[in-house]
Amino acid sequence: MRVFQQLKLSALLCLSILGPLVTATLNAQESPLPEGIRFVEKLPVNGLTIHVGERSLAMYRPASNAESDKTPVAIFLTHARRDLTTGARPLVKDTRIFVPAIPEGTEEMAEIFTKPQIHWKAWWEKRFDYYGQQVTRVPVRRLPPSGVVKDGDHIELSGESIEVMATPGVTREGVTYLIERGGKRIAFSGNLILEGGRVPDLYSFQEAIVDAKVGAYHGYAGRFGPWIESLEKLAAKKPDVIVPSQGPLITDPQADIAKAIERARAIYANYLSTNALHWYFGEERMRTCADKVLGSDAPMESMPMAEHIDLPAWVQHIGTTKLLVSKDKVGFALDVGSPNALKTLQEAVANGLVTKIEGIWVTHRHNDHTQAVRDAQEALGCPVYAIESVAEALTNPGAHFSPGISANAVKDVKVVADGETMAWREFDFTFRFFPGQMLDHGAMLVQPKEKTSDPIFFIGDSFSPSGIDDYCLMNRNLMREDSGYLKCFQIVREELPENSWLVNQHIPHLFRFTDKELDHLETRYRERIAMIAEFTPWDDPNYAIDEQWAWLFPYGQEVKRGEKFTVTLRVMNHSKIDREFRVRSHFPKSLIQMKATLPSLKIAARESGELTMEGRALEDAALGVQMITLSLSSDGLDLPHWCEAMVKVVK
Amino acid sequence: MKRCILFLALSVCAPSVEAHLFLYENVECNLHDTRKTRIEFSIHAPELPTAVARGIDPASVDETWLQGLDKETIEVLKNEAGAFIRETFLLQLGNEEWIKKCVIEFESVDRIQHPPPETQLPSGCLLATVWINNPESSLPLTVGFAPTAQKRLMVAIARPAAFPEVHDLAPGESVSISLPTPPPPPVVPEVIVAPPSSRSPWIPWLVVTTTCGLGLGLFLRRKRSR
Repeated sequence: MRVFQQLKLSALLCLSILGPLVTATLNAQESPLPEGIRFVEKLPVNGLTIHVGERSLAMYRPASNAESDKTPVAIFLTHARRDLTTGARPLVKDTRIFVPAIPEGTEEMAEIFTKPQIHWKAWWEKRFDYYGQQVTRVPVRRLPPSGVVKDGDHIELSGESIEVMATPGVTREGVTYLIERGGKRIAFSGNLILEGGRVPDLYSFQEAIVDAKVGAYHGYAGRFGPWIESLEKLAAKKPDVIVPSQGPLITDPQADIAKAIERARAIYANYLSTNALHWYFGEERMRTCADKVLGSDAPMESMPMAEHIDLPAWVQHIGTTKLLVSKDKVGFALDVGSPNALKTLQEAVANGLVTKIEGIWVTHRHNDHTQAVRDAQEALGCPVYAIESVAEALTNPGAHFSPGISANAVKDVKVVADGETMAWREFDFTFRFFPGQMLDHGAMLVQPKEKTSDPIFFIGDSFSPSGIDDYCLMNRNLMREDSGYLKCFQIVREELPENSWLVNQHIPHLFRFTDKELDHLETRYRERIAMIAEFTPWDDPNYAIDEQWAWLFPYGQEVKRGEKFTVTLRVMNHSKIDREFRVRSHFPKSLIQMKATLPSLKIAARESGELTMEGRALEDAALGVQMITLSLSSDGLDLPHWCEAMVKVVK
Repeated sequence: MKRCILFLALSVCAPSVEAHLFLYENVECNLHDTRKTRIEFSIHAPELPTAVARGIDPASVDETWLQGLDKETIEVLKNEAGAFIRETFLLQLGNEEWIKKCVIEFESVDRIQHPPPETQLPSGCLLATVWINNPESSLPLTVGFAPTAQKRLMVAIARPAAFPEVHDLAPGESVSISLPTPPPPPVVPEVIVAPPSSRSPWIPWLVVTTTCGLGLGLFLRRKRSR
């Protein structure tokens, strides 16, 4: 028995001595990082600590809360997104924070680290008529940096030499830090590239392509070009390992970079092959866009223009307004997008071209279709019709945030359901939910009762004779069978009367696609859905193209001191599984949340859900714009400060 | 007809606002005046070389952008816009290439930076105007678009008491517009007019003399009756 005990003791002793040695050896073989660098892959942001003697430096955030890690001398951040910066905030007192310089031309973001309130105060107004199309998930709380780094900087700190390389792409300001240790070159590139040649999402790439005179609004993946340049620059540095801010280490950088570039190019070539902008901008400008991403020798596919003819006499084109004129000279307007368009309508009445205008149908939310609807309703005294989500934004624009929302609130909008019909003069109208150019978008089928001419389907801005209007990734072009362009293809192919024509509000033509052309558009589009699914880490590609799958309603509201208010989280569960979202709110000091904890939000697969929380502005609340953010988590997701809402405290 | 006089005529087709503005080039031909045609070009300044060189996002400019530029830069943009118009558009009257020789008028720097509200010009746009005296013969005006243009062109024609007539042109295409015939010069009838000096004085004198005479007569009559 004693012998057995002695043996057991010896074995334990051996294990206790040899165990760590064996583990260390195994780790040394397995870990691609050199000694003294501790990496922990975790949600929402990876942690990495570089030990330099007694001191340590951290990338993104410390690897752990262990004594040796938790108070680094410095922490290095690669970009200005809330998920990254909030992790560094608790360390501000004892740790130096290095952040990237905000590039020229983005002045509104210049002080986003030091004085984010300047950005958000301006944003209260700027969010209207906004076509900059940048992700709003930027800091709302101060993070005063000790150092601002830029391309070419070399930082010597605690004996460690760190090279800085500008690597814009996913963000405008993104940088990569490079260090050499143990004969290895290690790159810390933030969210520039994820393991497996992927990126966090697609909408972050929306950007102007200045050389092609394409603005940010039309710049689908416009930062693919600079991003590819960044990746090629990084590849040229021949890093042994890339440590991203999310997900596993990239242990074969050259292979993953090549894969990422190849995927991005395939997506962009696919986008160009179905693009509505060919109609407007022509071959040369689209070629310039292609050159930036695909390279100057790469082929560019585009669809020939669909058949198009002049508008019939009963449809007048006035800017982005279409005016239907009945035989007895009564008008019905589709969109009133500018004061000039309204003036033209008023003069048409004054001149007797029409005796009156009996209604206004609003196709979608963009201000070039809605800006003068409020004034038109007052001046012409006629009802305004729209589908529900368009009506919501027309009557309460400040509560919503999407591209180009006009601040001109319309008093009263008659909501029409998908499929609802209405007889008007010698025509029959059918209203449709038509989520083409944007999610909140309708269309109207107009059929002459006497069948004197072919039916016309007024599709807002959803197609042009060259393809689909999906150039703005902030427009929420969902890639689902029940929504987005797949839904539109289904309606156009299967649900319209024979010989129907399409009309885009910007184009004074009727046009229609052949079956072959529709096949081309739909096939390519379905291919792109699969490509995006491969390119991004989510369980459904819609998360990667829908920045607003979770958002707070109202986006902006005014609250008096001492007054209660509500904020509602609206979530679209794009996953094909049921999800339970755990929610944590972050209120500023001037606002308090009435209940300390929030219940979780269970949403069935592909369904939507919402959760309302109550708050109150303190009696002595600071006046002005206050930011509320909300963190979300669910299986495999940890999204700190994911959505924001603005509360403007007034007296 | 009275309505036509009260409301001069329909406004010309309104270009779209903001991000969608630059989908098309916009030319507006105003045919309200039978003697001359006003042709207006809305030039989106963020797409001119100086702005492109500065990396301006053409979709994101608002009314403050032009206000924030110095006068010299605006003058440069005006020159570039003028050159762009001559290169990009064709205005032909009969066989005469009008665009090459005409004067292109721009607004003053002050009006460009602080446009009056009635202008309703979209943000970042320069308004350029060309006048054409309508010919007495029925020569049509051709508005065309250079084959090298990088957008489509929306030509809107405003005629009195009519909806705007719009033409959507691809690069290389053109449209022919019949201009109103100017009214013939007024025929002045030959009338012998008496010199003003011989006409004017006797009427007042006659009035004064008659009034005084009547007054005196009434006065004497009353005096007698007493």
